[in-house]
Amino acid sequence: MGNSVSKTLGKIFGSREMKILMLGLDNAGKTTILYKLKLDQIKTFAPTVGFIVETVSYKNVKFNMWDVAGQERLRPLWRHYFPATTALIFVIDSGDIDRLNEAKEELYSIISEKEMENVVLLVWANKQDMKNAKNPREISDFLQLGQNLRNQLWCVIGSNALTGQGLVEGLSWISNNTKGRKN
Amino acid sequence: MTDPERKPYIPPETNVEYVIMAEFDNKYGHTLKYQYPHYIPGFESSIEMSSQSKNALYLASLMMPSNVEHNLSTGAVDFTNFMLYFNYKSKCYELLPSAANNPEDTIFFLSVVKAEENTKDARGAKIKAVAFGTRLKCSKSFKPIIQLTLENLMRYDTYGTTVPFLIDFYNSINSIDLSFVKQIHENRALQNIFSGINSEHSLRDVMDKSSDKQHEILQFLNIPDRDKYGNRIELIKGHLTISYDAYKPREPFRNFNRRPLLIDLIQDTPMGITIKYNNLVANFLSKLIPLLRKGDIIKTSLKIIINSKQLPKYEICEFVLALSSLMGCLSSANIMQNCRNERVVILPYMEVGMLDLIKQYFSSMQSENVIAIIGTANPIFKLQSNLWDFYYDVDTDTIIEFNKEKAAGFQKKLESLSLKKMLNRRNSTLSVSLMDTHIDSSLMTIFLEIISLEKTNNSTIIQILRKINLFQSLNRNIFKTDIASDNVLDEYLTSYRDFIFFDDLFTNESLKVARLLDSLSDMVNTIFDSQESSQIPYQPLNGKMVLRMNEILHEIYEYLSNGNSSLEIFLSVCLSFPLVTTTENSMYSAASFGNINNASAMNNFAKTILHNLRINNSWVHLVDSNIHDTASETFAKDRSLNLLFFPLLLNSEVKEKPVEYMYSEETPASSVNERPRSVAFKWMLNIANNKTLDNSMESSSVKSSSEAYSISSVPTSKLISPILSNDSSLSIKMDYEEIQQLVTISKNISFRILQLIENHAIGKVMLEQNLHAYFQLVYHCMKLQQRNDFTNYEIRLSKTEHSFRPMLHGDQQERR
Repeated sequence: MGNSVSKTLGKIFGSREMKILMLGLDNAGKTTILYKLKLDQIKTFAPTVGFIVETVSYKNVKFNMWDVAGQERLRPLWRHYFPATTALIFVIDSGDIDRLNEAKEELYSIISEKEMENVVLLVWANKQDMKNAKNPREISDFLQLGQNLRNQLWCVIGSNALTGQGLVEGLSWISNNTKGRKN
Repeated sequence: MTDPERKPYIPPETNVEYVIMAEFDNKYGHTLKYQYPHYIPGFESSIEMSSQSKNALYLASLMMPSNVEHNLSTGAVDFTNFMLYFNYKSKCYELLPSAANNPEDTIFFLSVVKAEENTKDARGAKIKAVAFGTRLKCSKSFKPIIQLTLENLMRYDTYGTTVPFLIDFYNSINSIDLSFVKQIHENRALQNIFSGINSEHSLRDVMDKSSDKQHEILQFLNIPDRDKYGNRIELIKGHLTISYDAYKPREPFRNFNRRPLLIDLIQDTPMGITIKYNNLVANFLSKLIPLLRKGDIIKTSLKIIINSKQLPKYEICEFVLALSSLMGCLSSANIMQNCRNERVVILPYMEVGMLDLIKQYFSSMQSENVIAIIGTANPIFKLQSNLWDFYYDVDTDTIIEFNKEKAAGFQKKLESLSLKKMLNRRNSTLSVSLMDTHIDSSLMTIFLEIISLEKTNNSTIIQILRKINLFQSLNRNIFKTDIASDNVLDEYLTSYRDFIFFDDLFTNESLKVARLLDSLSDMVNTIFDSQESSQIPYQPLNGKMVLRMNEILHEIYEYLSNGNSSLEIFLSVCLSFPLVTTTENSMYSAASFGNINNASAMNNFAKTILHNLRINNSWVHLVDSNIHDTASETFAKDRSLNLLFFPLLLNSEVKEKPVEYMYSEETPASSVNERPRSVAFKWMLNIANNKTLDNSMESSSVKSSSEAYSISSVPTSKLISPILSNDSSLSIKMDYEEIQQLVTISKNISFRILQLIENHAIGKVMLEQNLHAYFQLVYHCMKLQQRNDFTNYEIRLSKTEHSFRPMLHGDQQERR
């Protein structure tokens, strides 16, 4: 999206590059988000086997986005992707109420790791188009990030990968809150 | 696990030992579902999706590599390889080798994976993989049938519908007797010969049912029309096609094994690798070797990670296997591990799920030298820098070297280990300094660059690399030192540090053959040195030379008389014999190494070498002075068999007026009858200079038996011929009669050697294809002569030979 414009801006203002780790339970919509950002297209995807890494340029920032599979047995492998991460994006299926707690547990399990204590956290409350989807504030309250993450920057943004709602806002928040950080 | 509905079929062979199937579960991820005929010890799995052992998960992740879902739109399948090592202490298989492994108990797995759209699936796709484990080297041959198995079972989900496919695959492959194929594939020397011939000619045309040599070759290779179970066998273009006649699957699998099994008899790469060495491997090695040769590198191990996001997984696996093979790690089990005390870890493909396993393994190996070559498609390995010394990104063609200072901090020096010696040479029994080895050491890199720039087939590439191995060994005199063959290899690696070697060239037998060929080459160059630039147009033949040649030929003959196995090793070394020999080694340095970065520079390099050979009157120039299509072909071409023919050109019948002939350049053509029956090298040179055999034949006449190898109408001007002389410089005094007898013996032995080679079905093909046209003619004439005058000839020769026997067996003092 806007790759050529961002390249030009990058040339003028200097560009940054950062590693973004995008995690979440299986079927949360991580890969759909990635390709919406990368190609501005919606594809029907099979579950991700392993990982996908794509570079998304926004303004003068190059986001090397790592989308890692979220199946139960693959979650212990997430920690191998932690090194050199600038920002963690945790994607939640806002309509999958039954698994919200599972998602919360996984999120806390990640951010409690030493390697992740300095990363900024963006939670995309995805699938906002679903009828029973909880809104970003409800998700935020449920996750209790304000109570538990006092020394870490975090943000919950509602998103819909199909329309692109909330995606640019998310990247913009990361970009604005990681300035001056060494990657 | 048994087939619940059928009477159990007990397969007669175990070509395939295990068949396993894995599936990607939407909720749980990789799942190893079925194993047949029983669980692999150490990899027990449960049919329940939620319950999987760690080891079972490893297998499943290797079978279903990352990003396989990207093939959904094309429906393409992909392949991965992995090995399981049997631990005789725990009686279990393991993913990584240990001291408790027996190389023979290693099973090689080939897995095929497919992602397919499926509307019934909650996530819209099914991802499945099937793998088989075998000890045979022809796993590539089973690719079509394992792929067919997978494509069929994509439609089925239950145990009852899935497992019968696995059983049918297992039974089909195991219903064939492949013992003779195994013998052919495991015969290294024979495979080297196949590869060597195939690099220049199409051996496949000869190894075909339409060839008149078919029966001879089938008989030689012990290949029957039908195997012991009645399966039909045919030879087609170097492949065996074997029909599955003995095992008929039931419906709906009836078509399952209708296509016959196709097995390539020519294996110029390990495990039937199909990738081009030049595109990836040679390019990578040409960049890696200079880094490895840096004198200041302090390492106790060598760990390389090859990463590509873009290559299909089977190409990553083949890259790793090809690299491992060239670096001596595939036969590693024997060479690197047992002899060189180095733990070799080859992981053609690795997933991030195995990171902990490999980290733990490396940390447990801190007291050992480890050579690890690992393939992956995950760039996250770049961040795991404690896992590698060199990280190669195939997609961007960049090598990253691990920070040396950091490395030195946690890696202990182990002075006694050979890899350490190789990387950081301090002391060696050969006093070769780095400065000394500059030219030689860069030879491999230069050739790798040439190879990577040219579109050369794998057989040719292998031949070039083998020739460099042999050239460098001969050049360093490594073979002439009295050290055991294990140490020879060690010396070679410490001297050159270019990490590419073919262990079969470093056995005692191969070393012996190489030394003999080198000596023969020296001798031939000395005897037939025409010295065009000097005042004397030809080198007088002296007794010492002939005696030495006799000794060499005798040694060769005796070695070849040991049987087919010796003959095959001999031919294999012949094909690896370099373009330039030890006495001509300055030619490589004389040729400019600089700026070989395009086709033109490469051809100039080849031309310079050939030019130098010409002005030095090397025999090589006489048998092949052509610039071939590519520089690689020029260097790969086999000329060594011609060496054995040169003794046949010795002029044994010059007795009178030798001095006169020494200055016979201006002898008029009319005096041809006065000229002794000499072999005209100039005439041969004309053939070498692109005159066709037919044209040459017009000016020659094959005479009756006694003059069968005389060419009567050759112009006598500028005759370049060795003649007999009782030169005063001889250390062994002989009269003409004695020298003549020795020459006759040399010719006889040479002829017998050629006959031995011709009696070997593949040797015969080699003679026909690799021999200079002139020598073909000479040999043909000699055979005719043998037929016509066999009895008298044999009696005469045996008498002559008998009279020299004491001297030929070392009693030279007596002659003096």
